[in-house]
Amino acid sequence: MGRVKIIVKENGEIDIEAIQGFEGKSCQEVIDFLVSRMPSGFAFDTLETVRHGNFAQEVPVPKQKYVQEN
Amino acid sequence: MSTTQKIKNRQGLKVAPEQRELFADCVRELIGEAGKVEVSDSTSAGLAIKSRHHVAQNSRYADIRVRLTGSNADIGIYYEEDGSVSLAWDGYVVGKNKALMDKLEGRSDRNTFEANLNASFVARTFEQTAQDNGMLSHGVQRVTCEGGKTGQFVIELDTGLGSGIFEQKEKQSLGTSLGGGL
Repeated sequence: MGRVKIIVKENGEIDIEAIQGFEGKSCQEVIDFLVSRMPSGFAFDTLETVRHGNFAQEVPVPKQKYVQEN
Repeated sequence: MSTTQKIKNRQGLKVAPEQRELFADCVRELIGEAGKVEVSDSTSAGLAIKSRHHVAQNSRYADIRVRLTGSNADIGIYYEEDGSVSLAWDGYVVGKNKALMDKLEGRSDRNTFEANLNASFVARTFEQTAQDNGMLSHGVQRVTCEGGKTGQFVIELDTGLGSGIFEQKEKQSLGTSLGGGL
């Protein structure tokens, strides 16, 4: 059985690791399956808006790349 | 005289009406032994916030009210019409809370609380989504990161998918938006 580990950091960064039971790229399918079923509004490929200091200034964070390390 | 007033969540968190129960659970879990969490009945006007300062008109009734142990003022959490979340967290009156500091690597400020609430909510939403789709969760855990200054939420899921032996560890990083569930 494939097991994945999801890590959500305080800064909003999310890592998903396949830790056992997957072959080849099947992990990717599982991640896509899971992400596609998240409630609408959870977007994983858009700019994140954060607010700093005076609470009124919106600072866009550059889009993070979707990377896969084999 | 200072004013206690709600301010929109800086990370843009949004919570859909059907996710409010899950969100309240995240607040309860994050506060833990650090204080008392009360959740408003959806049919009521909200829970009145107490502060040593004047409370702004639009912040008097919160959807979730938190009273940290030893404090004489409340933290208010509010659902806005567009689904965003606001917090009335006046650091001067809320004060430092040891239980919260113990949990959050020595921090008890609004930024840290918000960031952890966001991350917790995203992690719990992943978990709920996985369970709704037949996966098995081993629970969400908050762990301190290397260096001991911040934390992260970790979930392990048995997916019931995949095959063979996964010999080489793959790591996927997703660009994220904590845009929430609307």
